[in-house]
Amino acid sequence: MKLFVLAHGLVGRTDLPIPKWLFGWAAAIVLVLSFAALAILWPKPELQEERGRRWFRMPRFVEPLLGLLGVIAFVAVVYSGLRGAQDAQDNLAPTIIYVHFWVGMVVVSVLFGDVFRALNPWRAIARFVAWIVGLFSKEEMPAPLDYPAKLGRWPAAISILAFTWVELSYVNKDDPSQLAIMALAYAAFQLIGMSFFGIEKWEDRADGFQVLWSTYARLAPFKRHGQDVWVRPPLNGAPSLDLVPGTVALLVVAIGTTSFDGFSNGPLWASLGPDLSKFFKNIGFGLSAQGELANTVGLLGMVLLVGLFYRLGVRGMRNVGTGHTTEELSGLFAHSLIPIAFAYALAHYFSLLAYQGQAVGYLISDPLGHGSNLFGTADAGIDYNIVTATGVWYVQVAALVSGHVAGLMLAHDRALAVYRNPREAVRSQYWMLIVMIGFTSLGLWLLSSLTT
Amino acid sequence: MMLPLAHAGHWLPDLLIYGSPVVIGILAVRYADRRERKKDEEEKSD
Repeated sequence: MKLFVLAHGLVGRTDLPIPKWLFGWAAAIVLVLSFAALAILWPKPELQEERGRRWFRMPRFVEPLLGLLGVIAFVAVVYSGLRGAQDAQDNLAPTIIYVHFWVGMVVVSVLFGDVFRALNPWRAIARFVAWIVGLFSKEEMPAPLDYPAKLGRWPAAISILAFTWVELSYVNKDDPSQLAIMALAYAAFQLIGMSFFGIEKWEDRADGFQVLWSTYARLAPFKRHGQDVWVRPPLNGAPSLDLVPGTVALLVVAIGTTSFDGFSNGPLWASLGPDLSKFFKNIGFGLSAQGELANTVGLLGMVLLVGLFYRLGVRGMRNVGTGHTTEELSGLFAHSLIPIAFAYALAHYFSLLAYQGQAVGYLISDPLGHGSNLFGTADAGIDYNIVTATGVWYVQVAALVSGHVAGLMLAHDRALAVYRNPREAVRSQYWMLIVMIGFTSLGLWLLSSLTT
Repeated sequence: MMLPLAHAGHWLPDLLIYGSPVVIGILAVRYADRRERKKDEEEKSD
């Protein structure tokens, strides 16, 4: 059965032994118990220094090969978007961009590390061009400009906000040709940025997708050191997240936009959204602009709310010990938001990935939607029995609880390194515990209230 | 613009139920924080 639904929280009838709200309370109790256990059983910092061991050496051809694969996939998506049927159901581009690229890469990054760096098509093109120029140029290439330190990860945060605006607010979000044009514009912007500031510097700071996924990859048990692949304890890469401007903003955008995705499908937005649209109608906006503006207000409001909540937790921390400003603490504990952002992404998009992810089976055989059958799978469908609605709910609860427990662990470990003694460290984390309970409750509320 | 209270019956109970662990947590932390501060002050005065 081909049934294309690009709604991001597919839900169905669940068969649960207890009401959903009890899961929220149980999750809060698990977090409190985890906090107490950390206070008793984790008296000194364990994660602040990166550990691990070399696993194997990656052959030199692997990275160019993966880069080539990334470029082929990018070209296929853009070509399908521009030349294929202008229907989100039949065209390869929307599903690949919103499901496999946007959601799938998050999971791949957390499981296997910074895989996107090798697959990244615009980085591969830039490296290839630099290699060709290096081969034929007799003079040394000019050194790249210094990347402005003040910019930090702000360009990445803004890129992700812009992408999620398209995904959640833009009226033509499923239009294949518009998606293809936006993909080309994004790639062109990255190539220009890399040509000015250097490939790796730009990729580490300004390419939204690369920066976000390499941030998630810090949770992974694998890491690259040059050509070597290392194994390390999970979470061990997070504390070394460098504290440059825009880092907190990036993670807050990741959590806030995912939250708005859930929120916009729930009853409160169903009540609030039309009133907001009416307000924009009354001041003279057209039909599509009304909805877009209402969603933009909701999206930005949710990002601000998440940022404010984190800020409140950090502000509470400042009351303990001396010598740390709210700004410093905000940066020092930013890495504890990484597992929360991942938990939100996994919980909110799991059903999308599990169900709509299967659409690649038939889309790859007929990427343009013109009736071709390249690999003989054009008649494949989506098996909605692959996981039940009850199963989806359990995965969502497990993702949210374990993500927040991981956040608590990272924050506790950092507090032990920042404060003078374990008692102060534990006291400083009281407010962080509230932040974690708040994010968990918000996540479960959003998921439980999704309109069926 | 109307306030979005017309359909409050659909979302307010859930919001209260899911929000109450946070409220309870805030009250508990404020209580613990005050107690610890008092203890610190007593230790200092001793």
